Amino acid sequence: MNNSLIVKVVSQKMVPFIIMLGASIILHGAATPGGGFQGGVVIGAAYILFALGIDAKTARLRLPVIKVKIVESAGVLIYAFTGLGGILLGSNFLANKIVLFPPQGEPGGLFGGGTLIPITIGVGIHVACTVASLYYAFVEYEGEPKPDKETE
Amino acid sequence: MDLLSLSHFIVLLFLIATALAAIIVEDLLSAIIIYSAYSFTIAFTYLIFRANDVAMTEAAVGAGVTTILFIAAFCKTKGKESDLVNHEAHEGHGEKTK
Repeated sequence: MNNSLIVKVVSQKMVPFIIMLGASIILHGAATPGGGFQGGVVIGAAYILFALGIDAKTARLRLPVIKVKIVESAGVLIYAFTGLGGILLGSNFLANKIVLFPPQGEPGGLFGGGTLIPITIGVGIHVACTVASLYYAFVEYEGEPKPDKETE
Repeated sequence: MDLLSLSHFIVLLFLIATALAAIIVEDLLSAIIIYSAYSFTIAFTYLIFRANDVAMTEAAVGAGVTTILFIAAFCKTKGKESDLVNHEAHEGHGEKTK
């Protein structure tokens, strides 16, 4: 990439605002357009912008591959345990109105989704880490990986 | 034709223009940016037809991540765009009549 100072500074300063936009899309996913996938893609694109602004090694140090894998699996586990909570409370998988933990607001509000809110958060975390993994897989691929350097 | 359908017509016309320009233009980096403009225009088209979720997905994935991945692949394959264009011109896929 080009070593422009404007590109470097702007890409670093814009990252927290893009992450806040993605978190807003995720948290309002049950009530407004958007949801886990869209907000997760926005957060992953923020990471790609961050990694393109500085060099690849610093970005990889800031967010290692093993951390990406752990958080990605945590997103799936949030989804799964939210679904299993419905079974534990005596109803179907992913049952919504019987689970008491998420606050049940009025429909159309921010908390009107019930269990849709942790599901959307889990999907958002998973998709954000998947987009970051896509960046690792496609962009930063430099030949065959060395087995002694990356212990996974 | 009222004003609303006229604006829809203009957006659809711009959609066709960007889709054709992404194919016709010879510079690869320009093609990527025009494809990004096409993707954003089709997101606006989805928004006109009230498919809000699809519009947001298209704006995030099509205009954002796909463009970044294309530009990254473009930067990894060849050094500079002028080298690539000259290289293709020297290779000559039967396009010397242009």
